[in-house]
Amino acid sequence: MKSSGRSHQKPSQPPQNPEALIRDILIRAKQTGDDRKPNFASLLQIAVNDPEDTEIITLLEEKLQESEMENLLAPDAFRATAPTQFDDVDGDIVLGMTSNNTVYGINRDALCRHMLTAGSSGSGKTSLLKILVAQLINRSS
Amino acid sequence: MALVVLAEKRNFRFPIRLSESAVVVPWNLYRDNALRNPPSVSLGSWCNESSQRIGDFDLRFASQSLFLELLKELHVEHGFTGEYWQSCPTLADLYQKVRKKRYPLMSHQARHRESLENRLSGILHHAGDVFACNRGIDLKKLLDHDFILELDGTIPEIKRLILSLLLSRILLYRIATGERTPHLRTLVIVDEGQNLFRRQEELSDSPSTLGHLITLAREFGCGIVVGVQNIRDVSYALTSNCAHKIGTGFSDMRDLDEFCRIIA
Repeated sequence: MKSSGRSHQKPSQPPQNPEALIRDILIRAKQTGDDRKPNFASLLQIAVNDPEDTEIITLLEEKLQESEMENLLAPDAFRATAPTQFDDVDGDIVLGMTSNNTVYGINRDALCRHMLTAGSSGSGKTSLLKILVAQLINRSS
Repeated sequence: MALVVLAEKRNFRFPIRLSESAVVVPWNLYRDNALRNPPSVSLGSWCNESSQRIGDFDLRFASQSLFLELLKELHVEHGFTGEYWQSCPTLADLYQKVRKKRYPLMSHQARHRESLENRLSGILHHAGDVFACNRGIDLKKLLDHDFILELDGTIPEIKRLILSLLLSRILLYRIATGERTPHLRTLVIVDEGQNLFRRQEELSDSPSTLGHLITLAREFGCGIVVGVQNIRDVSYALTSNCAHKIGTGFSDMRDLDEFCRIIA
């Protein structure tokens, strides 16, 4: 992990494995009723709720800065439009992951307002439509 | 909820394994009388719609008008008033009527007659079995199933005609029979929809009315999901009416620019 260069309060104990830390945070998210995979913003919210745990806040701040730097160095045309809050991606039909690695879903009734999938040959348009068809059939049967 | 998939290739057969009500029909076994109105849709409005759909077959507005005139004459000759139990003339009957029609040589009408005759001849020679039937597929039964129509193995123009006629039928039927509802009742999925919603045609002197139908269908619980390759060639009516737009990756910068423009 890249260093943020900012001064943080040093943890009293040696830092844990970051993956283990994230796993702990996910378990906490599940315990609080949020059973979806949380993004950085919601992870940060969990950490803010527990201000004693400075290690988590430090880690999340570093991850956020790393993400911002990545965005700055390699801007993606779709990054700006990809949802960042889970409230935006809520839906009963899961379509896949966005370029931000967040789950993208859509409500069935929202399809009344039509959907367009565009992309070059072999980019996954038909696979997306297949996933949609399979989920609609499974839900109706 | 009824699911209708208009598939370009044979890669949408998996619903048969998932649902007992799923039906897969190859295009050459599909039957459609283009001149018969869908249930609950008036004959007059269907005549207008079918003339538009045949008109999409590279037919100018004046020739479409001749089509409409001869179609109405044909319906009167056969005593067809739009009831489901009546025998309806077919495209083959209309073709014969057009061939017998005589206009002064070098007149505008003779030119339109020739243009119409050529188009009908092309349709009947490429897909005669599909359109030379009196009754056609039962739309009510079709909408009781998960229906998959496979369109591989025919020329793009015929694909387009079959697709647009079926789409018009479903949309008009839902508009005529449905109540206004925010809930999804019918979902039509069109794979490779760039042939159906063409921007080039939208800019011509007789634009297709499919875009207008899509706008109306939304209020009646009829949704459309369209997959397209070259988004810069897709009609504005489609891009502006789709509330959800997903890009899966572009190999052409012009498509990427167009996609960024329409989601901006």
